[in-house]
Amino acid sequence: MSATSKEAGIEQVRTVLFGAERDALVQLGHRVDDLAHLSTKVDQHHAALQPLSELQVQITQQLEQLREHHVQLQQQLTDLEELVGTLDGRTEAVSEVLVGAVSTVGRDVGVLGGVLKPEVEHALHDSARVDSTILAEALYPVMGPAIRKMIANLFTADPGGGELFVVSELLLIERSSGVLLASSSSSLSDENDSDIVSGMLDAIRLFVEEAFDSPEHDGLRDLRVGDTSVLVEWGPKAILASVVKGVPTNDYRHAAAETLERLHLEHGQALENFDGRIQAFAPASVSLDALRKGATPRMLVVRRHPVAFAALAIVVLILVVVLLIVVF
Amino acid sequence: MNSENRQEVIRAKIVMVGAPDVGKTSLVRRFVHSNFSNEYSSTLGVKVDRKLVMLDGAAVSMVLWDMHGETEGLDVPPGYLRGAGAAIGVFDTTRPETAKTAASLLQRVAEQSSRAITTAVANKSDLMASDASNGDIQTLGTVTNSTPHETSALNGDGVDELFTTIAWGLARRAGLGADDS
Repeated sequence: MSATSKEAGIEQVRTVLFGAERDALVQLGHRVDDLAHLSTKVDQHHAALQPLSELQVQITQQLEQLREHHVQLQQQLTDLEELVGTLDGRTEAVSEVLVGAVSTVGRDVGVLGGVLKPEVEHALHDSARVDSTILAEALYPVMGPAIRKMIANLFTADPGGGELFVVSELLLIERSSGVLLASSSSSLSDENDSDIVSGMLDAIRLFVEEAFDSPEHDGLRDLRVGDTSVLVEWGPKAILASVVKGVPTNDYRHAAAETLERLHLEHGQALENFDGRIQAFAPASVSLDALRKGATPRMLVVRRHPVAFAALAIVVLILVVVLLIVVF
Repeated sequence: MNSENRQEVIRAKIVMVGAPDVGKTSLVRRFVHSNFSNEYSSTLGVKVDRKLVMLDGAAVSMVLWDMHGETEGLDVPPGYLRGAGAAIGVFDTTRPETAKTAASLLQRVAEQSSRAITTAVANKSDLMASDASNGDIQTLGTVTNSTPHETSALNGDGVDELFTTIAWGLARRAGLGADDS
């Protein structure tokens, strides 16, 4: 047998034994080629889809942000509805901006005042009509000094003349209870006595009110026994009683009134909420000491000048008008 | 209580009210002077006395307004009751009907001085204990929201305790002192 025929025989054997596997291998090779081709195509598609994927991520993020923004807007809308829908909410909102708004408007001098003027006038008038004491008490520390200063400018004190007097005791008394708040004395008097004196003075005041059916604000002003007198100055919350030997001057009366006004100003809160504690009025003793020791023995003498009298008449007229407004 | 409070002084007007002859003036005299007297002084219808009660942390100066004469009983002028820090409504244990006057007067005090501490006092306990079942006394207890304080101005029983209790009440109202100890 020739070599060629041997090989042909072997080939036939191979074909018989492995023909099917060979065919399968060839087909598998084709399929591998197909898959490789497909893979290339997938890679190409994938590469083409990559930008779309990034876009999707961006869109998702933006959607998330929009969702958060939407929740915030929803909350703000709820808050606004609550703010506008309730009286408390509106009041709070307006109060927050009111001061700023007024100060902004205030740059145009007079505009806001012009708008508010009728309302303020009406409120003042209404307050005076309902309870005149509120306005009277508020104006008390201001009106007294202003009026006295005005009158003092109209008159001059005579440097000569006058009678001697001595202030022996000053008592600052709480008006409602008659309780002694502070005192100043020229002698080492027993505090017990001052307590009883202030109480009895209050009892005398009440007796006078009852006996003569006089209103409280027209109460007792002077008591006199021999050459000793008790001068009583009235404030809204406290009374200042001066025990004086001799004839006191008008200057002294003015000084006493001024001291009482100043004490109202300095101790307004303590007087308003008086609960029996007198520690808060300890500084008042200094003012009372100053008033007692500073009392001068000069009598205020009026120079009778026609212009001064005319001016005084105007002041009195203004006071009468103010009183009429307050009362009616 | 801090050292500042130790220096605190409280002053208050205390009004004594009640029917005539229940022992108001005797109670004041017993408390202020520690001696008993049947003398009455004729004044403006009120006699003013003062007693300092020392407490732990505060001194309470009591200005006592004792009504008598024409201002006694139900005729007391409203102004006399104004500004009172405390009011003591006294009745006579031997005349329980006087509790009705005390109740009426304490109600008037409350109208004039809304913050006043009101206390009912059954005086003359040395002669007779108060009858808790009596309607007038029960009414008085309702006004003060407590049972009457038993006192005898004659032998002094319960007098100091009465005013000390009121002093503590005034101190507490002013934010001083936490208890009666």
